[in-house]
Amino acid sequence: MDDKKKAVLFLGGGLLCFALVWGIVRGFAGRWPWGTPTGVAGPSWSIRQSMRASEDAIQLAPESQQQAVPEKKAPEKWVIYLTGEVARPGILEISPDSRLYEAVEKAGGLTGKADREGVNLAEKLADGVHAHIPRIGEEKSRLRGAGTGEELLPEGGSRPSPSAGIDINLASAQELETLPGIGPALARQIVEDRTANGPFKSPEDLLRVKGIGQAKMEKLKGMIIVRP
Amino acid sequence: MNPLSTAPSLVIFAGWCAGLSASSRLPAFLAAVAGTLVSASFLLVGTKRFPPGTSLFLPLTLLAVLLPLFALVSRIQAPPCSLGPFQGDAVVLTERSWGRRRAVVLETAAGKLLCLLRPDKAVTEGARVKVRGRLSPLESLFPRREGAFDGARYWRGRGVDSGFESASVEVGEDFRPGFAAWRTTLRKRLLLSLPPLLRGHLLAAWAGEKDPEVEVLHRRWGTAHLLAVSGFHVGLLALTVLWCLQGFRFKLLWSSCLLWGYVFLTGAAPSALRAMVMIQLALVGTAMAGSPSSALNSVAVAGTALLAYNPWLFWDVGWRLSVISVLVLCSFAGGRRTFARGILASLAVWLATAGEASRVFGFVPVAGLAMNLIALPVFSVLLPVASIAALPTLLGVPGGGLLAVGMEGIFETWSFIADGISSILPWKLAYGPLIWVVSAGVVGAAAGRGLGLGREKTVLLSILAVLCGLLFRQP
Repeated sequence: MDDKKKAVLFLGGGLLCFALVWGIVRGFAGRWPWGTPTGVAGPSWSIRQSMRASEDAIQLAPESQQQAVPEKKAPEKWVIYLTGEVARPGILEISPDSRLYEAVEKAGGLTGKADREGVNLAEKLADGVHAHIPRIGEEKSRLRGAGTGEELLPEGGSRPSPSAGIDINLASAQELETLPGIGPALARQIVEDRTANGPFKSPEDLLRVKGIGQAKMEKLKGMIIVRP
Repeated sequence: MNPLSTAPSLVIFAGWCAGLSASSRLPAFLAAVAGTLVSASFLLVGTKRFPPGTSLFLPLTLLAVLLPLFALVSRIQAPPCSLGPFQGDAVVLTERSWGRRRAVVLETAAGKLLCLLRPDKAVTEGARVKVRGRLSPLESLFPRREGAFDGARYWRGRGVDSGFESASVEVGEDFRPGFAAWRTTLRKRLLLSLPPLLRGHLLAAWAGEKDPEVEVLHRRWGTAHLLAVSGFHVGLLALTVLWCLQGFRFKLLWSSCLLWGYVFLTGAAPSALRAMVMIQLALVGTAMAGSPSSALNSVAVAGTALLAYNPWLFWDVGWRLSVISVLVLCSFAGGRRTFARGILASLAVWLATAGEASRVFGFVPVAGLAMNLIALPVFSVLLPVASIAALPTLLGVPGGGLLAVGMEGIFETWSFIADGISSILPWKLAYGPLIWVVSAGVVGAAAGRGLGLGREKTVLLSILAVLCGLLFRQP
């Protein structure tokens, strides 16, 4: 083979190698089912390992220090339902604390018909929510809590408005007082309970607060939100 | 000419850099494969033909990329294991401002730990202290956000093993003799005896510490790199030391000790380490073979060796800018030294570093383009002269203050001139894909030129570098 042919062959080989690199990076980034970097260019230190490490540290820490760090368990992954104008709508697994744009990115991005101004891509997500990306001309984006159909987050804001329900894991004592049957003392007890025992995982967890019985909890159920 | 015969380390270095760039998106083995393929691509695109008998080197080189890269990426992705409560003696290695807090690196039996203290709890470098707290992964101290500054990687690049939370630090009375304690003494002397501009420049050059007021000035002029200890400082000192030690026995040993001592005294910044490894290679090469090794190969060897020692250095902006600058400068090494060539080299360095600098700082001042042409020769004289002028004051010699005041006047004159030049070129280039692509292209072209590949191959290498830049671009 003469030198000219060799040079062309080397060039072709080089370009092929680069095409393979492009394919690997574009094809596998953030889509690898196991191993550490599963998020979109996420940290190599996974939430699961971080939580396990913190728990180990808490177990080893002296009692005085343990009291200062409330026990907290976060799910390893959040599962959400994304519909509307995205390339691949459906059930998605996302990293905890993700925002809507990360889920959209994971679903292949917005379609050309998506109403980019009618959706707040920076909106915070939660486990089990249903997010909908509207088409141009359709009503604005919806983000609903799992199963209940309740509105989880208001548009453009991170903290729910009273009409959408009060997040008992985020609300202050004053905000809790706006709920029927909750006075200053009970509101304070709810805040103290979640500080001492960790966040509420379901409305039923309110039963662990002294002064809240089954009837009161049932009454509150439709007015509150429980986010992990 | 082909990359394997001219600078084989550059092939390995390119692959390692690509693999490490991919490590935040891919698992270890895929990142290692991607890095190896980039090396192969670089090698094949830059080669017209392999000399007879060298074809075996291709798979060997690719193995030298693949296996260590897999180990490095695995090391980066491995979770830290030394967690739990810790109590014991420690020595403060580094203490510096960190937002509204003070970042303190402690040397302990559990490794190097980083704690963030309230400003009123600050401690002094070199001090022996008693500490109590909880070890935690560095990532828990600095939650990572896409595109934002990654504090965990920054401190890992400086050798920190873990975070140290809920830390109580009880300051003792004594200091452990060593670089940290000497740096504290030097800093005190400089701060208490010298006027502001002289003090700011010498703090940077001698103690590796940036004075906020002087840093603001240099940022405006586009010469902030002069305040970071790098090849410029180490090179200046190396020239001075070698000149002073002419005719001495064991010149290599003495000069190496002095230069490494300087690097550690200034805090062993990644850019200074890179420069020192390169200078050490040149010194050893000259002593053993009579001439230093290829400049481009030396850059790559230094970069590769430092990444093998601490792969987190890859994300250190000082290390990156230092490697890019010297790689571009190496492509201008050799041949006749003309004024036009000097201007071209300066322009190429500015363009090559503009992408990374604007990514980190948000913009690059256009004034830096002109300023660096003047500032580098000016400071190569000013810094040694200022160091000598400050000595009498620091040693308490009567009347020494006059020299320091005279030197302060010279720095003020320079500030006036630099402000004038900056006002002529007030524009700033913001970070974006275009500036990134241009920088990547210049780096590729510099590599091709340095390897002596000829115009056609250099253009191809430049295109390949642009494509790599686009693929691995950070937001």
